[in-house]
Amino acid sequence: MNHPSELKLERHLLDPGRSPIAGHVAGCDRCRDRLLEMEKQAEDFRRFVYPATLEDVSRRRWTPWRTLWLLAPAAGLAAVLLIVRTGRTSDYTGSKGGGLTLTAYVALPSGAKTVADGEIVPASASLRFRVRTSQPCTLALFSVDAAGQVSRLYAQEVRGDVALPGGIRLDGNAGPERFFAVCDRGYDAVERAVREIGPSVRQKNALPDVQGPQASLLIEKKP
Amino acid sequence: MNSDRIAELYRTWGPAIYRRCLRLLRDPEAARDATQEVFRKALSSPGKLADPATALPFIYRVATNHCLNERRNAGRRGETELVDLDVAVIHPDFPQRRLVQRVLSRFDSRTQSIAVGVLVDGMEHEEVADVLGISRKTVSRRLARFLEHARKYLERSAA
Repeated sequence: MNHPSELKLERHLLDPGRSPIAGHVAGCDRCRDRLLEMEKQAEDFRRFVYPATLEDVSRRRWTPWRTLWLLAPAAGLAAVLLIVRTGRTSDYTGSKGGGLTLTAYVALPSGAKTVADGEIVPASASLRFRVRTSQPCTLALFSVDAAGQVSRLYAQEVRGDVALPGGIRLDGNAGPERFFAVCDRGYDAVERAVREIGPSVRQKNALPDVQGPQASLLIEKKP
Repeated sequence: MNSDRIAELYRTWGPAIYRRCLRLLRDPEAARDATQEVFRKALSSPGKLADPATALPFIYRVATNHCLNERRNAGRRGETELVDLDVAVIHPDFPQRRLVQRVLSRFDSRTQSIAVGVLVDGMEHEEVADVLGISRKTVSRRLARFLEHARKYLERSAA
């Protein structure tokens, strides 16, 4: 049996209603499975790749922003480093570890500025992050909004004071969004814990059952 | 092009680029990096990217060229985790189920794109010709040469 090529399946996904292969797909388990896999990969792109790479993709053609971000480290030095979460909070059940701080910078027309916890930022703003750890850390940086939509933004080894590469662009939707930085190799478990935060995103500033140090930062997105 | 338009195009075509890179590189991190690079390259022809009729074959070609180049580079560095591609269509002259890098890398980049298009993606010759902007006759001729040389190479390797 001849199956449609990958390119034909891509075209099908763009407009299933007018797809010339719709009849074949309806009766073909293999093609339906492949389409499901392709949709899942698209979801992975939207959740993990798009937010973490959009800034880089746009940056080369957007000189003013690039200039702005070059100024970000200086702005960070001038500002008081925001230690978003230190010490134990009421719902913190993980073990104590080395310190971890998370600092976010938002690019505004007036310049790059440090974001305070709970601060209102433009819903489509670009953010960059800096973390500081007292020990080598397998860092995972996630975000979650009130709908429980989770994005994994970074996963990398860090040590000391590190500006995370690239940046992210917020999704343009109004409402709260919380960022969690965690030193923990169990990415999947951390992601599940982040997802459960969901509607409590404004109140819960720490993830339960996370072994390593963590920090979080809340922003309020306003269109 | 302003940043909002770039973001819109990236949201539209990014998934297809990512899938293409994932299929050829078989590694999410490598695919993520490649997706950025491919989209940047595609942005240099904004007209093609903005027209839905031309965008998909265009990004397919750019992504294929970029990722096959990444594979060649990875092969030179000895990164064997990138080497195997599943064959979608078992060709009578190429009974293997995997298209391995040591065979693929013996050919020029255009022939590689043709072999991957037909064997790995299951594309018809006309479809490959359309994507690569070459004649169907060229596709057939280069594929025949690829199959013949690949068969001889694999026979020699087996002996």
